[in-house]
Amino acid sequence: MSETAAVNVGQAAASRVVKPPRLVPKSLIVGGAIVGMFLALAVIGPYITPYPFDKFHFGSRLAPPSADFWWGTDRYGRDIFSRVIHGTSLTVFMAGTGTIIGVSFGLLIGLFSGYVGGWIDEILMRLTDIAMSFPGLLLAMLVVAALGSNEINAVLSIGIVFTPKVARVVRSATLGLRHIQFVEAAEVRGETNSFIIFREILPNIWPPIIVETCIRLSYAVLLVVALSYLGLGAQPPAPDWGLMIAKERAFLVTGPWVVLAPAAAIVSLIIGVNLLGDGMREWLAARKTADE
Amino acid sequence: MNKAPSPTPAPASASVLEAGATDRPVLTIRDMHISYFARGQEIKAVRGINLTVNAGETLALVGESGSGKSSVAFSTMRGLDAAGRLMHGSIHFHETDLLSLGPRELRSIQGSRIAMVYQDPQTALNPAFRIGEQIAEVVNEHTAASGWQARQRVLDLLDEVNLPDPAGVYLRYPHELSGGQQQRVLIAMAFACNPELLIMDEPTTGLDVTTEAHILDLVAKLKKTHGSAILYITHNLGVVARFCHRVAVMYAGEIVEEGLVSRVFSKPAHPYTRSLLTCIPRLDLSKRDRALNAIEGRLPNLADLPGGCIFAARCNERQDACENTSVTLDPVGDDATDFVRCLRWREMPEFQFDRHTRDVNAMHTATILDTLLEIENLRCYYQLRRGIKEFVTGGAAKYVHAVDDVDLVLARGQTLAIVGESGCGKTTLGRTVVGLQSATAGDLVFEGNQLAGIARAREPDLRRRIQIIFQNPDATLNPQKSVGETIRRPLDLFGLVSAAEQKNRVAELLQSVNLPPSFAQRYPHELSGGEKQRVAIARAFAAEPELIVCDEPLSALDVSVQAAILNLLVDLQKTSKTAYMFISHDLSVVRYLSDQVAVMYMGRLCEIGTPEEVFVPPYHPYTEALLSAISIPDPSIEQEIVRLEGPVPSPINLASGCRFASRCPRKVGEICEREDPPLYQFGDNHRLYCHIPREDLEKMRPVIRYAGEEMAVV
Amino acid sequence: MLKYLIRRMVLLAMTLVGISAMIFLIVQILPGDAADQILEAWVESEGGAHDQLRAQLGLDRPWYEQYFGWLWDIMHGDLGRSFAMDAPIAPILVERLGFSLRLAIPALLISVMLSIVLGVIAAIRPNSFVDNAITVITLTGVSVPAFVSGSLFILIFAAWLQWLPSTSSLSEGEGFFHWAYVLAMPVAVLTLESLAHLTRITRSSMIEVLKTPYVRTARLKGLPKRLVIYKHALRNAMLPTVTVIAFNIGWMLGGVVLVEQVFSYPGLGSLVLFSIEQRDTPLLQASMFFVAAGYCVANLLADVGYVLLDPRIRYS
Repeated sequence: MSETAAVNVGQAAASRVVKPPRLVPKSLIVGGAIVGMFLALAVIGPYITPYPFDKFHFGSRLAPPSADFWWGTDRYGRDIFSRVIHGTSLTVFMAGTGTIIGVSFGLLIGLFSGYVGGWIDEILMRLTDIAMSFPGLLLAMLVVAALGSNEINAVLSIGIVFTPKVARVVRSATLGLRHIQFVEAAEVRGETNSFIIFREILPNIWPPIIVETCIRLSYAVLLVVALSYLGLGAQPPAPDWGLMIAKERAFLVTGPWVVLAPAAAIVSLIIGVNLLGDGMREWLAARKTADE
Repeated sequence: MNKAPSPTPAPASASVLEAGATDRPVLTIRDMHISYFARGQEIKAVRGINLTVNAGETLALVGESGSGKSSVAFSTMRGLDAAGRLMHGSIHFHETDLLSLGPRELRSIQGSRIAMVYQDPQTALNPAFRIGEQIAEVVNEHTAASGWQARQRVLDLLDEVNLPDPAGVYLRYPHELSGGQQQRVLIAMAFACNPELLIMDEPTTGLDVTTEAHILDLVAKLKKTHGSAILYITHNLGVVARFCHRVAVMYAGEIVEEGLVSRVFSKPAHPYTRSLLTCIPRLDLSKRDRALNAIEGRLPNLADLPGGCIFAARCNERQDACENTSVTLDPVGDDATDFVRCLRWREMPEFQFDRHTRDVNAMHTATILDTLLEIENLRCYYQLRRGIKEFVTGGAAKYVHAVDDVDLVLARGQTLAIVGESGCGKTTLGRTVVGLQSATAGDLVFEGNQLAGIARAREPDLRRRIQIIFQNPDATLNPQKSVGETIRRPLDLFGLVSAAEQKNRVAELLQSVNLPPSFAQRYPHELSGGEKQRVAIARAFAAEPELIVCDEPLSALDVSVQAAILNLLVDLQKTSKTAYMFISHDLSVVRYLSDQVAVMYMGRLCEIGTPEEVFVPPYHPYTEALLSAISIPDPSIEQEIVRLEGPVPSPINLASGCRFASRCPRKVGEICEREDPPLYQFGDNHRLYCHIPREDLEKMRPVIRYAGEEMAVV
Repeated sequence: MLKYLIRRMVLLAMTLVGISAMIFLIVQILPGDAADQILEAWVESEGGAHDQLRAQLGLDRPWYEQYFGWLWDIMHGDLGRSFAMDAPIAPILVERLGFSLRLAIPALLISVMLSIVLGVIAAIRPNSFVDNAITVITLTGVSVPAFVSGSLFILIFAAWLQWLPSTSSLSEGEGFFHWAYVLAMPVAVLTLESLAHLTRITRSSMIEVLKTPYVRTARLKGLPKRLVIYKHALRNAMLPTVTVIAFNIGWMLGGVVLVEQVFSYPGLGSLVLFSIEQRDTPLLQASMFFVAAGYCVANLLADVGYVLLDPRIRYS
């Protein structure tokens, strides 16, 4: 603002140390680190846990955190730390796959619809309108109800919920380049539709797609845990975080750790993904303005 | 840096004052330094500027993009955006130090005693509020006017800026007005409190020439009635000649020359000023006469400044001393008003505009020998989306008549220019020729081949032979492809050279557009606007076309770069015999480049002929108005004043009659609106569509003349 | 404006038909049909009972007859009959909707008002302490699923502090204060969720708007800062927020399912879940349609609000 721009013009100007703007935003680094940690846990987690996730310790049911059971045990005496770590790969895999499905289909539909236009675009967009008339979680619930409650169907339902939303974002990015000069130059040369879509347009719309993918990923984690909380995702005895909270809720008061541990895992993963998305958006925007 | 005392001596002596001006300074800027911070770099956009604007005076601050002129304007208003910082210097308004004011005191000056008019009126007005309310705010904030009085004041202001129906405009939203009207609103807002200083930041950039002429007339009138001093920021030297008193020329953050307009435009001292004045042709220069004086090279990197003269790298008069001696302002002449920042200005030959007077009657008329493209009865209509009402009542669809019954012939190796203001259909015409859209009716015949509507439906070889160069250099290249890839693609697609040869051919093409072959590895964001446009030209020529449609290829470039690109286009045409269809709104450029000129208005042709025919009488009244509206940076040239009044007709479902009738200053009568104008043929080629009797057309006076002469400048 | 409304209504009607088709399609994939479901408990099903029941439920008709019959009925306000409850669906839905709205409306109102204030405060001084604090809080807010925050609330306010009840069962006839007491926690959970979203949007759109030339014009007119921000900038910054409020209603409807589950609250969300668990096809179809239709109407209202705020698209 003007008020800050011109203060202390005289004496401070010479001594002012100008802090260079961060080239990579802090949120991108922190978010990337958190997400990276969860990814690592998803891969190596099962090998480093003190106990198998489904091992019963009947002698220590609902035991509070201790040296033996770092985060305590549940009502069957299963080690919560081991279960949460094991659950990582399940959640990360489900959310990741659902996002990939949704983004891939949405990308294809959005590119095609946006570039080709006309009545095909009209029909595709009316269809996405209809699909987007359902609140995301409810559509996912409906799909899982139809296909059956398990992990794979939960992943599919996430893909179905995301496809129209991603398609919309990609379509509007595509429309922004539909009549840009280098695309028109390709049309004048007589390039094929697929050349124009994949070689001229696609390389230029990665930034919004990457940002959207990050946003989708965080919703995907939310949907995964919400579906399993509602009993529509992974089924017992899977060490799913949402499922753990749902099943152990009755012991919330006597042993809060049964809920707090998976809750902490959920929240930190989503915060990580959100930070990654925010940072990515900031970084891409800064790069764009710097190029101009 | 320390607070250096002002190196500029006392302001103008009384003898060189503008009428109505005093030698009392309104604005005094001393040693201003402005920097921008991006990617950890300090970009020193403005360095050590001194400026004085006296009461009642108009000072022009001229410069191309990157010169820092707008930063000076905004920091004077204390309105620099967040990335920019005033590092050093002082700004005094009368005796008040603007930098020491608190927010409240500053606000009492902003908008009332110092006001500003902005470059892009569309974004400068708040889309969510009515026009009247936005102006009334200024009145309410700075005066004690009651609600009713404020409203009355706003209505008076709207009337003063010649907006028709002030009460109606009061209630409109910005998007309901045209660009010219929006700018009038901003001017009304600026004059709301009779400012002592008005800062105008490129107020006519982006407006059509006829609108620009109106706005400039208006500012001149208001200046007289309000007596405000004006700091007028522009890149257009022609506008400066028209109504400014003094001028300061900026280059890359420094003032390189300052002085009275009368002196600077007749005896410019700095090489940069000299080039600016001559790099864009006046109406008396044709490509057959000589090449243009271009300024080669690009702006220095303001984050890493060279030593010595800032202009040295691009200067034709450069000597070694220029690159390592720091150059100070040197007074020119005896008046204490004129300065130049150049070591060698005394040694340079006297400046002269070259004059080409031609005997109009003896001029050869280019005859079309070898027809390349025939455009026959071409019509391009866009259908408007049908509303609910039409849907229910089954009413007829509405059409925008973008191009309406146009006949043109383009010869091999020649340039046909299409001239007109925005919305005249010139771009649609060009897009139809290259196959970006298909015509509603009519034929395009290219060397005897009927062209299909859309490029993809045409045969590959026909497609190859017609290429296009676009307007906006920033959008013309795919940012994700290297220059080499971009140029190689047409070679590949049309199979012009073998794969092994491609690399050499790319290098050759780059060299033909005066770029080093190493540019093949660069990406568009590493190039300047002019360089991008050169790559686009290389891409078009890679296909070895016979016709290139050039859609305003210069309008986004600075004048110094324009000249270089124009020279390049002329050279390439000479060697390749490629024909150009050159679409432009700039009459001087068209005059220089073209063999045939077609003037379009609202989808119809008004006039067509060689430039020597079109730019001298007999004129179509619209051509006459266009010529009158252009600004020529030469005070020794006279212009007839013709201004267009009247509403621009809607381009929807046009009936018969002359499209120009509603604004025509020479309207014959009712017949103009009723019947399509007849065709007059003058000489072999010169066609003109108008109802004015032939003998009256022949009696017209030239619009642009050398002072004291009756001959047209052409 | 009228023209715009009419066009939107036509579009809404078409979308609703599309929604009904989509729901019908998905529900048809359900393994087995309602007759199997009902007869599941009837172990020694006598021959013919299954077919008889199918006929009675109209399941023996071809799919298009079933679909258009259903569509015809809902267009006339007949939502069918629940198997599981053996009662007409419409009154149940209306009652459950009432319960859900008691959660959603206060949550929406509070979060919209608060988010504008917080978003503007954060945007005026980007990267200041206040902005950073708001950013951290809202980031956490969008990262905590409703059932997690609900469980934490129960743990803190019901179990440890014992201020509020852990379940939100309602009985008619209680006074306002009882309602407020019972609903405080679920409403707070919903509010937090949508508040975080809306604040983030308001903040970023406000930051964008503050950079626009017209805000600079307003500033350089010499207007006081408060006018520049609350008049010139806020009105334009609200445009994306309005769209997100509509989007947020959808988000909230999802949140409602979770919150109702956590607090054992008998709203629409738990009805949907109940119908899924019970395989009560007519109830599932009807309640899904009801929710989607409500969401569409909310979107329509948001778009109308957008048009009212932005004169540029008023007459298009």
